[in-house]
Amino acid sequence: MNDRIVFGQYINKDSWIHRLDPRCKIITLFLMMIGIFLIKNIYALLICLGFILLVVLTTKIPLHKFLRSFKMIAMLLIFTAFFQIVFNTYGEIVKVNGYDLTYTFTLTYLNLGIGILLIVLYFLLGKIFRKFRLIQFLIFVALIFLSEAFILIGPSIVSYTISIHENGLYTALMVLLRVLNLITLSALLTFTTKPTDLNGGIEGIFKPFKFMRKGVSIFAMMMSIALRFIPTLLNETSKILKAQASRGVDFNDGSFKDKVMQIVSLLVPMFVISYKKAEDLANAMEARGYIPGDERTRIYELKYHISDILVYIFLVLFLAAIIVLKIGGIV
Amino acid sequence: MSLIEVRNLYFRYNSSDRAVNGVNLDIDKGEFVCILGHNGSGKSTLAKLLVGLLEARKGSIKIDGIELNEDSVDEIRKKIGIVFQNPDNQFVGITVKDDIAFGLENRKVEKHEMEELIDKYSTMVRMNEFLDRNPEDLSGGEKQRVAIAGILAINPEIIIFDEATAMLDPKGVGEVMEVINSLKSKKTIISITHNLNEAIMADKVIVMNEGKVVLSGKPNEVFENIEILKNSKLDILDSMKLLEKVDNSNINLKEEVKTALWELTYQK
Repeated sequence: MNDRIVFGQYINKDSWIHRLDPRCKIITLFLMMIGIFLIKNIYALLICLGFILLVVLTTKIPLHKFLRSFKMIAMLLIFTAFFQIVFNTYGEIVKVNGYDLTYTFTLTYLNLGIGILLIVLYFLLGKIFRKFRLIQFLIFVALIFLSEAFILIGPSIVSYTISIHENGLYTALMVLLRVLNLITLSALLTFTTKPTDLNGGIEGIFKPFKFMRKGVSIFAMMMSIALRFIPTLLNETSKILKAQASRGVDFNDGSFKDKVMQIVSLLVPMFVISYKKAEDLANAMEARGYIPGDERTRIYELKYHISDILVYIFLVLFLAAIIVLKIGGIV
Repeated sequence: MSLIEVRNLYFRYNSSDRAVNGVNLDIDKGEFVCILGHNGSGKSTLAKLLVGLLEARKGSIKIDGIELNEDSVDEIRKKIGIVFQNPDNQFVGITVKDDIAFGLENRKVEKHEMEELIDKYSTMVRMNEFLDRNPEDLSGGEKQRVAIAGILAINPEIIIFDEATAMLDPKGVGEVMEVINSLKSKKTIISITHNLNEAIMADKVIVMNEGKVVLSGKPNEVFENIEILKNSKLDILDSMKLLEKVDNSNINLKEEVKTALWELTYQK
């Protein structure tokens, strides 16, 4: 019971962002995201990112938690940027000090060997240093390219040229900045809002829309039950894992076929348990007067405070600024 | 007129042979009724029929003069609350407070009123200091007490305990039984169990076997029919076993000893 499983990404701190009404946070996040999508100017995006980071500092959440959320999509970002820079051939070739940024790479038999050696080395290193895999990967990729640029001994297999074009560099930077903006914003929401509050917030936002209220209230109930049962089901999972392990199932080793069988031996009882739980829960809820889609009062009523109104005012100003600058052709 | 009137009730599951075969019941207001039966005797099915979770094939259920049917089921559920066996599977809320509030939210009780009721009933089951706890932090007995508070908050006239203590450790059983006992004479209570010990303090005991009521009456009347209890696959108490042995043997015991043994049986 001590290894409490913390689900969601909520980080419990006391800050003004934590205290904001979840509805306000969700609406602001959503509209700011749309606003950021409209911006096509790198400097404007930089200013946005700077501003969001300033807000992040006021949440008292350590920055490395935010960095961790970048890590998940870092690979994707790097690839996107890489392909944009290498393959986008629109616009002029970028010049630095009067020289074109054009490089010629030659794959010789020697550096084909070096490449293979480096790949083997990368995997070996991976077994020893499990941390910073991404950085290791990037270093090895860079090394392969370097060898193709400078070690030109022996007969060549193929030779190719990469030139960096303005448009590619620009698009790469813009995609990078845009995604950083979006990730920081959404991390800001999930770090400062409890899953239950998020759920209540979504329900609260759709409350005025009569025609979708039924669907939303059922959806919100489903979400809150899912949140309620995640720890319970994780508990059951670990019980089954132990039970199966005590019967000799080895969850760590084995061939692919063994692994599939191990997962089946976990999934089947999990399904049975979940089904039983769902049936019992549905009975208990029905007996306690729950009618799906019916109007209910809530014990936690959402209330707007002054800080929420200020955030909304800011949001309106932010969107107005983007629209004005957009019309003016600046962003 | 009785508070609960069950007439000629029939029910059968499609997939199993568990069933209710022609049950008649009369339960008066304020009574503490214990329904005894082994697994599969139809006692839990009967409970589900009473709260309208299952629909009877034949027969009628009347609660407080209202006939249970599709239209009246919401009305009837205001009068009758049920605590189920598994403490984990009936915990709806993310915290204790949420869970007690669940039934109230469904009944559209205003927020300030909810707060008062939650405070009152969580104190009654001695869970008022745990309001912000998650279910994973609670023991089985504590979860069952929360479930009871959630039912009490709705203020039904009848509360059914469907083997509410069957999955608890001895400490949890004690805690929950204490709460149930404190409700005696305040509410009409139907306690469903296979444990004869729990039936001793009831006003009325109903023994079920194979979907039928085989015995019904005051505990001392019912307990005298040791043979029927045994046929119903119930575990009779030790003192009753002793009595039975005495009766079946040639030992000539004085009536006083027999009386003493009976007294031991009903002792609580």
